[in-house]
Amino acid sequence: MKVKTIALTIALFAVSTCIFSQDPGQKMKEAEDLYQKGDYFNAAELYKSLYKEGYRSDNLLFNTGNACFKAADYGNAILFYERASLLDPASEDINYNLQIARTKITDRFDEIPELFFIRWFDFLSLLKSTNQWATIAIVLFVLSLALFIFFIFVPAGRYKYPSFWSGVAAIILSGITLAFALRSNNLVNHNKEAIVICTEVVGKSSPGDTGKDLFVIHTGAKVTVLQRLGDYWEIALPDGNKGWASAKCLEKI
Amino acid sequence: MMKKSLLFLVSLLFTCSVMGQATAIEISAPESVSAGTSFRITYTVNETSGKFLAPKFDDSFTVNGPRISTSRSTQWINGNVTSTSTTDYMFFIVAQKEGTFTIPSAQYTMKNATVSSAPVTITVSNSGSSSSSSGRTTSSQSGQRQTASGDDVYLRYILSTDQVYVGQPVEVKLKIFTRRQISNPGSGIAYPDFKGFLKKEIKIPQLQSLESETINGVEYGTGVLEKFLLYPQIAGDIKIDRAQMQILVQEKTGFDDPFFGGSIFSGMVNTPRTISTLPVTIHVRPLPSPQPADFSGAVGRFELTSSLSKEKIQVNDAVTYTITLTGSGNIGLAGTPGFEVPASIEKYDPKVTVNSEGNSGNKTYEFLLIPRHSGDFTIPEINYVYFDILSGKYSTLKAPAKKITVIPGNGTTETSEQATPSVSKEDVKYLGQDIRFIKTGKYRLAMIKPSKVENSAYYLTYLLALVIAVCAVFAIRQYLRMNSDNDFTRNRKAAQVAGKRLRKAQESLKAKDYSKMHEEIARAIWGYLSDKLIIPLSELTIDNCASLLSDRNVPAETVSEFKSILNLCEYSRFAPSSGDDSPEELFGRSERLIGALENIL
Repeated sequence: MKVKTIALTIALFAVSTCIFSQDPGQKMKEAEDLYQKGDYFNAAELYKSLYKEGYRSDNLLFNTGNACFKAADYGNAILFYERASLLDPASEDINYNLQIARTKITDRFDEIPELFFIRWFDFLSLLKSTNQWATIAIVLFVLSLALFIFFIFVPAGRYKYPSFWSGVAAIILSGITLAFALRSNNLVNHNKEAIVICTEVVGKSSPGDTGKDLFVIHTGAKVTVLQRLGDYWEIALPDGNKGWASAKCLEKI
Repeated sequence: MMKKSLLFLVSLLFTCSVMGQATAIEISAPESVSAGTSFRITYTVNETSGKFLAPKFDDSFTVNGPRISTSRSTQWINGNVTSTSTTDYMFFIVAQKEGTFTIPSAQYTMKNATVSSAPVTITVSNSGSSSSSSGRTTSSQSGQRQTASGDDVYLRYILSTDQVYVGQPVEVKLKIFTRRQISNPGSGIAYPDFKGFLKKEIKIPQLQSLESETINGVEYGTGVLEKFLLYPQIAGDIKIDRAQMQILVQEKTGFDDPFFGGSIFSGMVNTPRTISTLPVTIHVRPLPSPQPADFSGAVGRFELTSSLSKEKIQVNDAVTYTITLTGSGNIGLAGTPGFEVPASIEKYDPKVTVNSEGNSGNKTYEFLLIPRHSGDFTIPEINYVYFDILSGKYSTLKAPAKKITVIPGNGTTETSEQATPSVSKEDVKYLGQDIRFIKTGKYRLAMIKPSKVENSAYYLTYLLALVIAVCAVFAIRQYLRMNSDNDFTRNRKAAQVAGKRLRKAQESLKAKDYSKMHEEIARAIWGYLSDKLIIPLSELTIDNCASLLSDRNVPAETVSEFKSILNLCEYSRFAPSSGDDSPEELFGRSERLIGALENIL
C-alpha cells in the first residue's frame, strides 16, 4: 500500500513537471520553426520567454536578437545582440548583426572608443564566463601555494629557484584571472548600460513628470545608467549629456 | 461694318421711297425665342435729330445695347432730290426665363413731336423645343420683313460618347445647323472653360460648304466647325457649358419689287447673331481600384511592339531599341515603358515621337543603348500595364525579351580591354544587406548560475587554502626538524658512544677476554659509522661503508685501515688464536681510526 502511494506520487510529480515546464529544447525548436516560417513576432516572444526562464546561451540570445530584428523591434534586437556579445565577444556573426541593427536606429552618437587596454581587458575577461575565471583563479592560487611550499622545503639544487619563480607567476596569473572574473561579473551581471526599447523616451531634468524636457532618444539608443530613483533612472548619453528617464522604456544589458 | 451699312443703305433706299417722310418707329423682333439663346430687337427711326428713349425690358432679360447706327441716303427722282436718314437702335437680348413677355413702347422725341412705337409681345419657350416659327414683323407702318428666329441657326456639340473612363478621350465636334444663308462661320467661337478636362485641338480644314441634313423632317445645312479631344481628368458627371459664336445671318427684306418682281431688288440683310450650343454632360467613370503599381496611365486599346536596330554589335557601338505603342486612347499621355538593362549596357533617355490623329495613333520610344562590355546580354521582357476600356480591366502588354550579342571592338576605342583581354576585374556588387541567419540545431542552454565571485564562500576558499598551506609548512618543518634532530645528536654523540664501547673493549683487554674485546671494537666502529653516515646498522656492510666513506672524501689509507680492522675483528671472533696482531695494538689502531674518521666526518 505504501509503495503504491509513493509510486503514484512520483508519477503525478513527473506528469506535473512535464505540464508546467515545457522542455526548453522543444521550445527552442518551435521558435526556430516559427522564425523560418516568417512569424518573427511569435518567435521573438518564445525566445524571450526562454530568456526570462533563466536560460542563457550566446546562440539563444543571438536568435532572440534576430527574431526581434525581423519583427522590426530594433531596440530589443540591439539589446539581445549586446547581451549575446557579452557571452561571446569574439563571435563575428553577433557583431555583424549588431552593426546592421545599429544602422536601423534613429539616434546617431559618436561613441568615444575606450582606451585600447580597457577594450582588450574587457574582451579577454568576456572570453570565459565569470565562474570559469573564478575557478581558474582559485586553481592557480592553490598551485602557487604548492609551489611555494615546495620551494621552502626542497634542498638547494635544480628545483629550488624555478619552483619559486613559477610560484610567483602562478600567483600573479591567479590575481589576473580573479580580476577577469570580477570584470566579467560586472559586465554580465551588473552592466551599467541600458538600451531604449520604447519608440522614444524623453530625458528630463529631474525624476518625475514635472521635470523639464532635455532631450529625446529613440529606440535602440545605448545609455549608461548612473542611479535609480523609483521609476526613474538617471542616464548618461554617449556624448555625456545626463537626464532622468522613465525606467519602463529602458532595459539593462 | 462697311458692307453692312451699305446693305442697309440699299434696303432703306427702296423702303423709304415708298414710305414717304412721316416719322415712325419700326420694330423688328422675333415672335418667339428659346430661353437662353440670344435674339435681337431693332428699333429703326427715319430721323436722326431726336432722342431715343429705350423701353423698359423685363428683368429676366439680359440686354446689351443699344447699338446705334445711322445712315443717310439721297435720292433723285424725276429731278427731285430727297434726302433720308435713318437710325437703328439694336438691342441684343438673352431671355433667361420661359413665358410671354411684353416689351413696352419705345419713344422718340424730336423738336416738335414725340413718336411712340407699338409694344411687342415675345414668347420665350423652353430651350430644347425647336419650333420653326417664322419671324414676324411688327411695324408701325405697313411693310414686312422676314426675321430669323433663334431656331433656324444653331450650334451643337457632337460627342463620340458620353460614357468614358478617366483618361479616355472624347471626340467632340462643334457642328452648325442652319436653314439660312450664313456668312463668317467658325470665327470667334467662345468656348467655356472645360473644367475637369484636358482639351486638345484637332486640325480640320476650314468649312467651305455646308452639307444637307434632315432633322425632324426639316432640311438643314450642316457643317463641322471645329473638332477637339477632351481627356477627362476627374471622375463624375461633368457638365460642359455652352459654346457661343457670333455669325452673320442673311436676312431677306421682305418686299417684292413692285416693278420688276422677283428678288433682284429684294434686299438681303446680314445681321449679326449669337448662336450657342446646348450644354452637355459627360459621365466619367473612375478607373477601378486598386491600380496596379506599374500602371502606365494609358487608357484605351493598345498594342506594343519592340525592335532592336541590330542584334550583333561591337562594344561601344550604339543600338536603338524601339518600342511602339499603337492604338486608340490617351496615347499622348501614356507613360514611358520601363525596363532594366544589364549593368554592362548604358541606357539613355528615350526619344519620343507621337503620331496621332484624333485619339488613335502611335507613340514611339527610341532608347539608345551602348554596351560597354562584350558578351551575350538579354534585354528583359517589357510589361506595359494599361486600362482596357473594352473589357473594363487593367491588362498587360508584353514585349518579348531581346538578345543582343556584343563582340569585342577592334580598335582604338577599347584599348583598356585589349590590354587585359581575359581579365576585367570589377568590385563585387552587393545587392542588399541583411542580418545573418539564426543558429539552428541543438546547442547547450545553461541555466543562469549565481556568480561565484559574489559569494563570500569563494573568498573563504582562498583563506582556507592559505591556512592549509601555512599549516602544511609548519607541519613539514616540524617533521623535518624531528628527523634531523635525531640524526644530528647521533652524529654528534657518535664519538662519545664509540669511546664508551672502546672503554668496554679496554676492560675486556685487561681481563684478557680477547674475543669480547674484538666484538666490542667491531660494535664501536659499526655504531660509529651508522651514526655518522645516518644508515641503519642492519644495512651496513664493509663494502658499502667503504664506498660511502670514499664519497665523503675519506683518504684511501683510512678506508683500508677501517677494512683491515673490521676484517681482523671478524677473523678473531672465529679464530681467536691468530697471533698476527696483539690485541693491544688492534685496540690502539681502532682508537686512531675513530679519531681519524672523527676529524673528517
